[in-house]
Amino acid sequence: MTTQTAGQVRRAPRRLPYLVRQLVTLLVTLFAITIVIFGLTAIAGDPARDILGQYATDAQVTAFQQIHGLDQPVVLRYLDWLGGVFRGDLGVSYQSNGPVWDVISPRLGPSIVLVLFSWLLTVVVSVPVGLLSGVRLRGRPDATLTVVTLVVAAFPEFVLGLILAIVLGVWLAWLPVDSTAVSAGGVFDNPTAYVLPGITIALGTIPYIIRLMRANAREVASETYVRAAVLRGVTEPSLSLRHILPNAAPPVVTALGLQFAGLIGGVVVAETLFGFPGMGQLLAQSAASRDAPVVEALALLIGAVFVVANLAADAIVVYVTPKLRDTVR
Amino acid sequence: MTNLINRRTLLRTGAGAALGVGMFGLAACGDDGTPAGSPSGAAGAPTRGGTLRWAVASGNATQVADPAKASGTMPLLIATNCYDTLVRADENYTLTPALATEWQSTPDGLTWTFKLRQGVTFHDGSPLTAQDVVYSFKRILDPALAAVGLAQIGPYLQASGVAAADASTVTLTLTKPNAFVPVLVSSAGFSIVKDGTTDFSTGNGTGPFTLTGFDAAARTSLARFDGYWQSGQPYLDAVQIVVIAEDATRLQAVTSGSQDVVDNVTGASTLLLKGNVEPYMLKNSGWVGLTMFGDTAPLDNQKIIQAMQHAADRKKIMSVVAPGIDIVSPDIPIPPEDPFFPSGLQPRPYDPDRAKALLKDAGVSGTFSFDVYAYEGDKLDTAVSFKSTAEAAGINANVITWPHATFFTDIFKKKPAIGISVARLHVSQALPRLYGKGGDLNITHFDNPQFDELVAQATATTDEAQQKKLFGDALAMVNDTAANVIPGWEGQVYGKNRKVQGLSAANGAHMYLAGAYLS
Repeated sequence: MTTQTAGQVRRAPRRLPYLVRQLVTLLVTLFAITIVIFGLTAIAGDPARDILGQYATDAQVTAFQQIHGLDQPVVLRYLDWLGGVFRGDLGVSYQSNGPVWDVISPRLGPSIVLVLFSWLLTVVVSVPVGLLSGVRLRGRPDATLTVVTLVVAAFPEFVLGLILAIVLGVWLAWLPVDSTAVSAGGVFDNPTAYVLPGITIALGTIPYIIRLMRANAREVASETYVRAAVLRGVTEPSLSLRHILPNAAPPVVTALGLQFAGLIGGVVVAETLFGFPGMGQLLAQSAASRDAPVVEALALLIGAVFVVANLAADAIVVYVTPKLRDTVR
Repeated sequence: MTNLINRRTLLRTGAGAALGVGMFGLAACGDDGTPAGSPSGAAGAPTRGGTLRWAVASGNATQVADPAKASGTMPLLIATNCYDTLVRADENYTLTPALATEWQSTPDGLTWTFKLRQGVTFHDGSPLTAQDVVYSFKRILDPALAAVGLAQIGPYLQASGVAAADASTVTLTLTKPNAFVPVLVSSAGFSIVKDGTTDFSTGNGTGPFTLTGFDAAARTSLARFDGYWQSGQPYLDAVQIVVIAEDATRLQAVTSGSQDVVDNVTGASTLLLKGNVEPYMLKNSGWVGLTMFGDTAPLDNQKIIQAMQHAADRKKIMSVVAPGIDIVSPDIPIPPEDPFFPSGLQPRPYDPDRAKALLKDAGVSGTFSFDVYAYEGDKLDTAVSFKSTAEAAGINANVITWPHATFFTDIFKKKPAIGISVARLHVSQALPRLYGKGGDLNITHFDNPQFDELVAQATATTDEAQQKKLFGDALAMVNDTAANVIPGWEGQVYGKNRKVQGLSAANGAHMYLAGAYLS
């Protein structure tokens, strides 16, 4: 005789649904990010004299500090800024004296396209290559691929970018060396201008994803169910695509999610390198010219993309993995 | 961003032979900075039409299209090409008429009269009048605007001294005499805007180009103004200015032909301009050097400063800082080519033994060490190469690299010794601002009433021989007693496609495109 029903045994402690929990984590993380961002720009000191220039009088410096609230305590400034963020007001740029959003918005479109392009490039190149390398390649071709990926991974993006610019832009003259054409016309008017920075950014993540995909595919390929499938007479490409890929994919999906956010770091480098008028270039320019409100807004935006991309990657993993789909609620 | 092709790496990697070739190539430039030889294939008549693609190194949202506040490269290109000044000055401050056809002063140098050109119109079609000039000058004199020209003219002129005598005559009544007012107002900061203008987004000036798009961080577009007063000009249909911050990419952009002109080609990168691309340069665009607080121990000891001046191998320093320019200088802030340069004044020879003796006289036993702050670029190059040549004289310059972003807040005017580069100023500006009592750039803490008196007299007199003598005496004082080492002059180097002709650069990073064309 049992006093417990099966249902009672299985019932987990009362918890919020998975997605809600994740969203709470997201908000807490974003809140922490705002503190870090604001703290760092505050530590950097008073930008008044750097912005007004060496010829500014003391009266001009004082006026600047009053206009931008720099004479207030840091905590008050932070709360004021945070309140603005909640109302959708990102503040006023020190440099242009206009709303931060007006400075950022024209740069968003091109950067989003650039990030998506390099992310897709990463997926399209590294997943098949990694899978092929893990399942089929052995011996010298595999070693060669490993050496190539490691060499590419060892180069910083700005070196890769310059090499690409010299080879594809100057010697072969296939592509424009600089991406300044992006600022002429609409986002899609000058597609060639996206190619060099896109490849440069993608090359920062491609080697990593190839390595990860290869390792996972190789591990899965040695599992008994794969060998069973082979014995059942399953052949390529069905073996790789239907039996190995779905089981090797979850860590790669998580990594691609993380890398999507990581690509943004590459965006700052590649945009500055190629003169691409996007968010990354703006971030570098604003940091150099000490335009804290713009830096804060961009850092918050990047932080948000990072957290959301992580969350999305987690959700996708849960969704595509039957084991997790049943246990994670 | 790291400059991959950096002048030091290039020199280090032993591009000695290439260096020689490059210098030869640069030597083929005329004295005025324009490449020697006839404009290739142009046969005299400039070609009309086409769009000039121009890439600048620096751009950010800071920069505004208001010509009175133009200090970045993109705003300066707008100021010099969408607007005009009363007078135009060439690289040695020889004046030519622009919006003013005649100008003269009363013999006491206190009242200046400018006669305006007839038939000049703004881009919106309204005619240029004296009232526009009065408005433009009063704006610049308003401290609230923080105009770049205020530091130059502020000591001599107040808003009440600006008046329109009639519809085409403007008078400036000064508070103290200045014989060089036309030189002052030739700078782009004194561009003439239309009376009442507060919105500068349309670039409504009298210049050869209209402003059709302005985003200082990305792209600025200029288009031909058909009603320009100089007949036949401009030749170009349009100018597109973009920002490429990375030096190596900017250089490749002009090499590959995706841009026609790039600016800010520094150091040994000049040597990479070949094939379809050639340098265009304005020599003597600014001096580099070390400045010290001359009233702060131990740098207040004249003998220590002189030891440093003898410990600088000027030729060697300048071969690193500005290869291919090769202009060494005595320790004064005007270049040897300047009409006011005291004839016969020679740079101090490199003499480590003499420097050692001077140090000994000053009571220094062993090595003399001091800290020098500088930020990346020509300033750091100057400090580091000074350090290497001064070692032989028992001087240890401890070079501290400081970020550019906070240099002017934390270091400039606060630390005694810095590596610095200063844009060329006219002698009547350079001396009072750099060495005068209360001068806004007096970073050597130079203090000499006799000097101030000489400069005031030289600035006040309209007698040219007298000007040259008085400025010469003042410059000699600077050379003998100011606490700075000025090894030489650098140039402003542009890389341009050979088809680009007719560029015209002037001091203060001014670039005039009215006469530019694509052959």
